[in-house]
Amino acid sequence: MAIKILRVFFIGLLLLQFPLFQVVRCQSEIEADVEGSELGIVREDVQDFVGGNFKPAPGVETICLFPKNSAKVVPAGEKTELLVGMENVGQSPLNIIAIEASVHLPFDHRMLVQNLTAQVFDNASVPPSTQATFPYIFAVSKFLQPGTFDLVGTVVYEINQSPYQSTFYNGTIEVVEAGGFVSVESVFLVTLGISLVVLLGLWIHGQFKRISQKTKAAPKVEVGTGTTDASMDEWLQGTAYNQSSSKSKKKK
Amino acid sequence: MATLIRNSLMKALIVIFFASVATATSDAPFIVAHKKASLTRLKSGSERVSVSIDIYNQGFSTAYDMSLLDDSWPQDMFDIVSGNTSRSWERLDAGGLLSHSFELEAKKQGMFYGAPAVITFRIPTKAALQEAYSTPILPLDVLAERPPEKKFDWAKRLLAKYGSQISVISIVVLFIYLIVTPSKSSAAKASKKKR
Repeated sequence: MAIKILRVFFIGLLLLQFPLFQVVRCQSEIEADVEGSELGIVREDVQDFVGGNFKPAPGVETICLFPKNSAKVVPAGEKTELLVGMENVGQSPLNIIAIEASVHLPFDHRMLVQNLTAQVFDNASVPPSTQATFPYIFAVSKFLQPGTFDLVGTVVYEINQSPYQSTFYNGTIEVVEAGGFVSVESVFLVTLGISLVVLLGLWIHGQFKRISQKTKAAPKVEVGTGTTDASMDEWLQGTAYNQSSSKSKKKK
Repeated sequence: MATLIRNSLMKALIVIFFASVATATSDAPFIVAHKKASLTRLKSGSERVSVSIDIYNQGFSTAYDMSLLDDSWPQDMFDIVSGNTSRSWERLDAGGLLSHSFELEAKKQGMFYGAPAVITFRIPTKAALQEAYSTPILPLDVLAERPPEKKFDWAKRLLAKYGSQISVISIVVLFIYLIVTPSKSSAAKASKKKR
């Protein structure tokens, strides 16, 4: 009966899960290029600048800040924001073209883990002797293993129609698993841990009982009304039983 | 002997002074300002814009007479509900953070492209007022028409978000319950034996 209930229960649970099943798909393109088009019309010559290698301009200083995130924690698969501060110490205004970034392995910079989507700007400029801030929202792949990685962020800009590029960040980020405290694995692990502790407690309890039983005196075993007192055999005097035992004694 | 020591000390101090003057250009404050705007639709149908501006000083020296001015919200499109679009502070030390927020009510429908807020401050080494711009905001679709939410959309969202956790916890709890409670058939057998 119990087995039948169990069988019905598990089959029912399996059937319930069917609509929620999802085949794991490999995703190569992580996020759509929405940010570039949302800020306005994209320049036509952006493709020439993004991905190229240019030198930094002498009168430009950059700084990188992870707002409210000094530990530089990046949840895998979720949006993270960082702010790029630009200071134009020169005489002519500079136009920001794009901000791009890439993730590398910490011990070998040549090993590229992921190229993050570049954020293209249409009408962003920094006047001379001013500081300006630009946001960069990115998301690393959802399947990236938690750990320390290197993030290299560069900003591409132009002064007087000549392109330049500055690295605003070349350091480590901490990738962590996105997700709350209660997940499938954590619930199973916690239940397993509690059950192991309970089993251990039961075993210790059993051991205690065994040890305490040994120290007690052996309990009296009831054998019924039979006693082996010789004087109780009086009623057998003169019977065949007594004569045969005396005979055997004589024979000896 | 004492004069010798004093002389060498003086020379060392002069050298340090000149060295510090030479490196003074990197000792300026670097103002990084983060401007965020979010839309909230009230039950009455009106839309509120909550604007918050965080100002960080990532430089190495203090910025004085900080003043924030956000003129990017025209009067014909937005009404100020609470707070002020401008504010000033006395100073912002290196590594410090200042926050300011205000709320606006939207009057006109359409796409709104906001300009960055302007922050002005003074530094001891320069006489002119320094300027810094905050981050621009993403275009806001003000008073957009939202399609009515289909029935049970909220239920579907909750299921998608918490479905796996709820099912895991229910499996574990049911399993424990099955193991802990005695089954009816064995109890019936025991009672039959007693008879």
